[in-house]
Parts: sequence; structure tokens; C-alpha cells
Amino acid sequence: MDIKIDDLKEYTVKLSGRLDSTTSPKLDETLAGFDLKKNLVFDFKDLEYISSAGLRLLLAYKKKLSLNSLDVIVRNANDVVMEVFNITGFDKILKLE
Amino acid sequence: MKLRLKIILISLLTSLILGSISITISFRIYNASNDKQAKVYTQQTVSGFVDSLKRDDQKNKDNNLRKYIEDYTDNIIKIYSEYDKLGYFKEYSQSSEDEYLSRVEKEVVEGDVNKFNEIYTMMDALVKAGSTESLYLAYFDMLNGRVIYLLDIDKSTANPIGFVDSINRFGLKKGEILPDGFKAVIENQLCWGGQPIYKYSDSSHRSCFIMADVPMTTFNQVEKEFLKYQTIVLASLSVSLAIFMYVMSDRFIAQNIKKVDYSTSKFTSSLINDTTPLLFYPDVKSKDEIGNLAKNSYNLQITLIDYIKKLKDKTLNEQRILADLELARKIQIENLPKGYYEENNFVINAFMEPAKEVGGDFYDYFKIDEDNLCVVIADVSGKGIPAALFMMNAKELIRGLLKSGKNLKDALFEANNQLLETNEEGLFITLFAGVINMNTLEMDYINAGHERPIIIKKDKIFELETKSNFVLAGLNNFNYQMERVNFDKDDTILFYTDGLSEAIDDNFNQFGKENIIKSLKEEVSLEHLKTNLKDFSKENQFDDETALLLKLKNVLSINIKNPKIENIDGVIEESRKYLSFLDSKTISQTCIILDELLSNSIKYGIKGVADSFINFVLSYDDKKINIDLIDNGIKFNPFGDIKKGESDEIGGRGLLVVDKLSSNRKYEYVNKKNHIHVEKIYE
Repeated sequence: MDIKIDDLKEYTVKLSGRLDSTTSPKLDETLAGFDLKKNLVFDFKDLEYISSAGLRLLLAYKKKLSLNSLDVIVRNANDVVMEVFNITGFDKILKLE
Repeated sequence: MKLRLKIILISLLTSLILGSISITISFRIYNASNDKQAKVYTQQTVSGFVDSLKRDDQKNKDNNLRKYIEDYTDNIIKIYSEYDKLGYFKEYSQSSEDEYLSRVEKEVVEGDVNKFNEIYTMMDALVKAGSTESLYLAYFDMLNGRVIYLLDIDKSTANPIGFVDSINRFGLKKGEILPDGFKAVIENQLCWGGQPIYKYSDSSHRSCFIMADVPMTTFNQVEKEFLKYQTIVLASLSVSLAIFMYVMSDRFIAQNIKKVDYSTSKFTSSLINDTTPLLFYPDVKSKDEIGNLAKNSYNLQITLIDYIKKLKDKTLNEQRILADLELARKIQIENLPKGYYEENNFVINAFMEPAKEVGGDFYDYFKIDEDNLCVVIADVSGKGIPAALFMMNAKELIRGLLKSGKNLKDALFEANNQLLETNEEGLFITLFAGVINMNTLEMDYINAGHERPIIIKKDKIFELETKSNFVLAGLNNFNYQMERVNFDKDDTILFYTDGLSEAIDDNFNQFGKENIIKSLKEEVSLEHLKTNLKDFSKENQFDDETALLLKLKNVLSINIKNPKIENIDGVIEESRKYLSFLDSKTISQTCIILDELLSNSIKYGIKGVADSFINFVLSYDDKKINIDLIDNGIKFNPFGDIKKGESDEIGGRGLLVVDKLSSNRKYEYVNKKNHIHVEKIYE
């Protein structure tokens, strides 16, 4: 998994590969150094799929950011990822763009 | 027609014929004696007159009756001659006859009246005394062919004296010599005869005769009476005979036959209606053919009952044997492993069709251990129960030896020797046995005189090369040569018996290896092969038909010891490669499922379990992907309560995803292991 972070008015996290039980801890580790003062945007353009480990991470950051009235935004999710969001109801709690 | 009626008719007919014959014969006899009687009577009448004349001759030497008749005759003839010379008799005329006759009457009767009366009385007495119609004296003039009536005593109308008539009526002809006398003859119901009174010395052409006519009517009257009585007597005799015949034949034939008939029909109905048929003895006492018939019919009943009993026993026995055979067939087929068996890395399809109720073919397959699968196909020489028993024995023996840890070579060596120990029937087995390691896909095999298996690869179909070994249960201490072959994933192997290759059609053509291969080329399936075989051989199954199709599945199998989250990545990578022929969406979804299942097991299931492991197997067929996970973690059914997944609880959400992305899920806890099976249908 590749993680690219664009730090402008919002943090944009570009992910490629898969976000699963193996890669989620790495992403978690990377994001730990962020101050959570901006919205967190996940660009899933190149993400192949997400498993529940990834969902858990997204949910964890959504909870953290919401304390600062900030949000987690997901962009360019593919069909597979969208289906997982649908199944789990994440499509209702995440801001999808 | 009833027998009794027939007997009556035959009796009547017989008596009628007998009666007619006897009446005819007796009538003939009687008739003959009747004629004789008439002739004798006629003769006696004539003789009576002649005898009287003789007696008178002796009494009166000179002036006797004969002399008188002579004179009397001469007188008439004198007148006759006179008239003859005048040609009176050449042409008949009433007046000349009257003249002649009146002259004769006048001159002759006017002579010696006493003598005339004496003769007349004598003759009249003879006529009146009996049956004589007329008695007359006649002069025969043969030269002129005439007869002249001299004196005629007649019961009806007498000819006048001197009456001239033709000699034709006496059967004589003009110019003939006079006979010595007329023997009595019967003509037109009249018996007549005569004797000469005297003869003229100068000529044999003239003479005087006493003649008698006796009518047959007198005798015929008697005859009629006789016939009447005779007919009555004979008819009643015939009727008596008919009655007698009827009574006798009724008693000795009809009644006895009726008895036989009665007992036989009673027996027959008892045979049909009763569970235990009864015997019926025909009480016939006569010792003739009917007596024999009765005796024999009774013997027939006894024999028949005995026979039926035997037949029933036999049928029951046969039914029992058939039922036993049917049971044996069931036992035999149940004794074979199932016709379908599937594991992650192989599928087996098999069938055994015995030609008789039970067969001598068998197939067998079983896991020797986790990795090794043994496949056996065999054909016992012979069929039926002995072959079936031998087959079951051989099958269990090989199974036991291999499971006890012996390698294939040693197992068959041992099995061969053991089978020979108890093989008094001289049966033997052709057999192919192989042990396949499912990890390396190597097969060790021995071919003991059996059909070579056919290997179906993606691009070719061929027979496995095998060394030829002697059959099983053939030779003691035979060393079977073991060989080895390497298979590839996706290979399919057909093991079969000669019942398939040597199946024949209506024209005795063999199905042959070629058709087996052809069928496999069309479709690698046992069902298809079976259908082709049935279409070919129709009803002609002479041998057991047995086949086993082993398909080695292309599977991904990974065993992880003491698994950690870090191991998941490798598994996912391998799986992606394995599933690379599929579309990316399916691959991704499958990987999500794998990630959820593996992480679930690693994080929660086997946590804290010593020597933990996960056996992971990924396989696919033409429709679906199969995921199999076995771990030795704590007992936990991940599909037990999917609702949990909707909550935020850790782990729950992942299983919800698995639930939605897969098409079928199964959980089992066997031998303290969690078995998780998940299927995903792909397009």
C-alpha cells in the first residue's frame, strides 16, 4: 500500500493497493503524527478494496475529528469499496465525494 | 351329447341292424322251405291220383279206371282228330269251337257214366281235400303243339272237356319229345306239376297226364302270419337287447366314467379353490380299463398334489434365494464407497453395475492419511455369490493392509498371499491400485493384469504406461512391480474394468477403448460415459461394468503454523495469483473475504492457543470459488449470529461483509477444529 499525504487546507491521503488487516496498522501508524486540525480526505482512486480493518480505521478517525467538528471525506471510491460501504452502512456516516 | 344318450342310440342302432339281418335271413330260410312244401304238396296230389289208379288196376284187372281213361281219351282225341283234319284248330272261331266242344261233351260223357263219375269224384275229392286249385287230365299233342283238356276239376272255373290250348303254357314247344313227367315248379304264385297216366307205344309225341295246379296263396298266407310273429318276436328281442346293452353299458361304463368324472372335477375345483387340495377317490370296482382309468386318475391326483407341493417349496426357495441375492446386491453396493465424494483437492465419481444380482467387480477409494488417497479398481474372475464374497474379502484385505501403514507394494504382496490361502475356488483378481499424494500429486501404482487407466489432461487423453504384473491371487510370493507417475493439477484419471471396453452391441461389436476415449473427449464425465455405454449396448450386459473417475482439483493449499497477521499478506498474494483468471472485482471481493476470515481467526480464534495452525485451501470449479479454513482455535461459529455485525463490536462488521459478499457458508467443529467453508459464485 502506498500512502501519499497532501497537506493543504485539508489533509488528503492518497491510497493505492488495499486497505485491510495487514495495511491498516501501517496507515494508522502514519496518521498518528497528524494534529487533526483539518478535514481528513481519503482519495481511494487507486484503492482496490477495503476490509473491515480499514473501515474500523475510518470510523476511528471520524470519531476523533468530529470532536473538533471536522470530518472524514472519502473520494473516488470504486465499486468494490462502495459495496462494502453499503453493506456496513458506512455510506450513510461517511462523506462521500 | 351325453354318454348315456350315445349308449342308448348305439344300442338301438345295433339291435335294429341285428333285427333286420335276422328277419331277412329267417325269411329267406322260411321262404325256401315254403316253396319246397308247395312242391311236395303238388307232387303228392298228383301221386295220390296215380296211386288210386294203381290200386284200381290191381282190383279190376280188365275193366279198370285206367282202361276207362284210355278209352275216354281215345274218344275225345278221335273227335279232336276229326276236327283237326278239317282244320278247325288252325284258325280259331267261336262257332267251330262251340260245335266241337258240344260234340265232345255229348259223345264222351254219354258213355260209361259210372266210370266217369268215379274218376270225377276221385279227382274232386282230392281238390276239395286240400289246397289244390285245379286237378285235370290233359292230352299232350306235341306234333301239333297242343294240349287238350280231358277233365278239369277246378275250384273256380274249369276248362270244358276237349278244350284245346297251346303247350306253351307248360314251357313246351311244338315237335318236342314229351318229358316223363312234370316236376313241380312255381310260376306266378302257382305251383304246378304232373305225371303221365299212360304213354302211347307208337309215339313219344303224345301222352295223357294228370296235372295239378296249387296256388301259392295258401302258403303265402301262412308266410304272412309267420312274418308277423317273427317280426314281433325279433323286434321285442331287439328291444330287450337294446335295453340289456344300455343297462350293462350304463352300469359298467357310463356310471363308472361318471364316477371318475365326478372325482376328477371335484379334485380340480379343490385344487383351484382350496389352499390344501383334497383327494377324491373314484369308487369304481370293475377291474377293466375303466377301473384302471379310475385308479390312474386317483394316482394322478396324488402325484399332482405332491408335485404342486414340491413346486411350491421350490418356488418359495427360489423367491428366498432371489430375496437373498437382492439383499446381497444391496450389501455389496453399500459396502463400496459412495459413488460421489469430494474433498478440497479432488472429486471422485464411481459406479459399479453388476451383470447379475451381485458382481465380482469392485472399486474402492480411501484416505490412508491426510495426504494420501488410495484408489483401487478390480475384477474378480467369475460372477455371482462366490465372486462377490471373494471381492469383498480382497477389498477389505487391501484396505486394511494399506491403512496399517504398509506401502502399496508390500500390501499387495501380502494380500496376494492371504487370498491364495483361502482360495479353493481358484478365483483370481485383475486389479489396478494407486496411492496418490495430494500434495505432490505423485501416484505410486501397481497394475496386476488390469485395464490401464486413462489420463485426461487439458490438451490430451492417453493411457497410463504400466508394467504388466501377474493377477492377484494367482501366484504365491509374487513381487508386484510398483511404478510412479506425476500428475498435474486439473488432471482427471479414469479407472475401469473390461466390462466397459468389452461391452457389446446387438451385432457383437465391442464398445472398446476408442469409444471410452471418444466419450471422454466429448465430456469428461462418468454420467456421459454411462449414457454412451447404455446407448451402445442397450440390454446386452454380460459383464459387470465398473468405473471410477478421479479429478484432481487445481487447489491452493497453504498451511500456516503459529499464524500472525503478517502472514495474511502472503496468503492474499498467492490467492490473487491463483484466481488471476477471474475479473478484478471478484478477486477483490474474494480477498476481502479471505482478509476477514483469516484476521478473525488470528486475532480471536487461535489467540493464546499453543501450536496453533490454520490450514487454508482455495479451490474453484466452473461456477464458484471454495474457501476452506481449518484452525485449532477456540470453538466459534462466525456465522452463528450475523446481526452482531451491524454493531460496532470488533470483528462483527467483518463477518457481515463476508456474509454479504459470499454465496454460501458452512461451519463445523470437528475433532476440536473449526471448519469454515465459504463459497463464492462467480460469473
